[in-house]
Amino acid sequence: MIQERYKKMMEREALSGEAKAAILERMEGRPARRPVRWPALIAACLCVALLGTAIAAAATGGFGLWGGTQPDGDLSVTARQKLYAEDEFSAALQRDMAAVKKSGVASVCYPADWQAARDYVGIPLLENRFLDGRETFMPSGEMPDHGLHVSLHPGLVYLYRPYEVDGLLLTVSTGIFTEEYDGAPIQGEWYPFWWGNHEADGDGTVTFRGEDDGAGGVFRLDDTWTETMPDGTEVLYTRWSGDDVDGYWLGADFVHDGIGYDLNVFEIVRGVPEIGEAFAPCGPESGCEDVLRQAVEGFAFE
Amino acid sequence: MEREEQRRLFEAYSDDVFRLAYSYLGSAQDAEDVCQTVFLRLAEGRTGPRPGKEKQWLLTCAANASKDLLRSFWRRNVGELSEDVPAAREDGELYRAVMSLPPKYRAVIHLYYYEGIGQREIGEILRISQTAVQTRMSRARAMLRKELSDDPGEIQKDDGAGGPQR
Repeated sequence: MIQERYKKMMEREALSGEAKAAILERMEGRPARRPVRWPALIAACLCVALLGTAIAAAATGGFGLWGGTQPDGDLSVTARQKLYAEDEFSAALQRDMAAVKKSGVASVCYPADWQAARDYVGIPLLENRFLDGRETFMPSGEMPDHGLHVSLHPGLVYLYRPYEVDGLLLTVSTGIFTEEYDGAPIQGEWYPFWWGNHEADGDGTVTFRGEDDGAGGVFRLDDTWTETMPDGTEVLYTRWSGDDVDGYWLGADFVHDGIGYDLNVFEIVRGVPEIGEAFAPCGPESGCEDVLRQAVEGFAFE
Repeated sequence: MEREEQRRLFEAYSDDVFRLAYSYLGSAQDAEDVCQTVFLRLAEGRTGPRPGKEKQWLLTCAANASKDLLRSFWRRNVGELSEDVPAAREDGELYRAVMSLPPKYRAVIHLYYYEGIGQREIGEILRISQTAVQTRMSRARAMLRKELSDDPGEIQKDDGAGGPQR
């Protein structure tokens, strides 16, 4: 009978011992957190943010992927950015994508606030006087809750927080890998967006053709500049655009105490069917450059 | 709810929550995440099950969390994350047949065949009408019958009104 066969089949599927232990630990140790799944906007921003990182790295001598190590199984990790020459990057990306595709795992953490993020990763994250206390941007769609989501799975711990500032969406995120870069496969949710062809023409133009319907396309690095913060941290600003895009994206990346920070600013487009809000490139008249600069300079570089 | 009681519920029902999520998502990793979501919600204590309805409450949470995940843009873009079916899997045919069903049908099939829950309670758990349960069951069975066409005797044509075999 089908019922017996089905029961037998499903009996084999059970929560792993590791997962049980992890969940129990969190149930007993972190009662106040509330998990959440962010909808469209967030995933798209993750993609764009990381895409921005790769393109930003191109301006400093090669293409980069965030990597890191996980000492002693602790979540306290040191992130690093590995740069590739253009002719090596495509092969490296393809190799990693294959590993990720095989694993099909993503680990992502959406913190309710930076304190929650800090609690989770066990490492000090920079305070930000410009952003602390500001309203978090809340998409109107399926957002019943707001809190911290921590995947049980190793790989990337991605801390993310979106803010609404002067009608713009400002995203602040940190990327922390918990897998050795060269060795165990890197696992991160943005890779699927990069599946498919990847081309670099050597002139600052990178073509990503994702399998999705929104994140692929041709993106062009228009401008890049660096600024040095009071403690010596180098912040790399990038301005980049896409074909058939009116406006541009702005991003800022820096590494502080081994943690990669990535900030991006977008215009908010409301009333998108099935999504609610989405983001769009901004232009100089929107004040996005001022917002991004204030957010970066709001970090406690000292 | 006391921690001890939360722990008891976890021990008693975490696999059931996992399996329902797995039936929706087809991915053990996603199902583990759903499990975590459900039991952290329980641990918060802001909402919770009524006495005697603990399992139903947990399964409802699991169904909702699974549906949230299915609807997420990220997952839709990533596509199916389900692991490849190992070639040696002895139940591979059934697995593929079940996983080829739309998730909402898989959930009904799972609750009926695995949990042994009747249609009315399935409706309560999934927050759909009993008629909708019947419709989904009927369609799911028809699809399974088609997928398992080399074994036509497998799928009975009962309407499930009397509840599944325990």
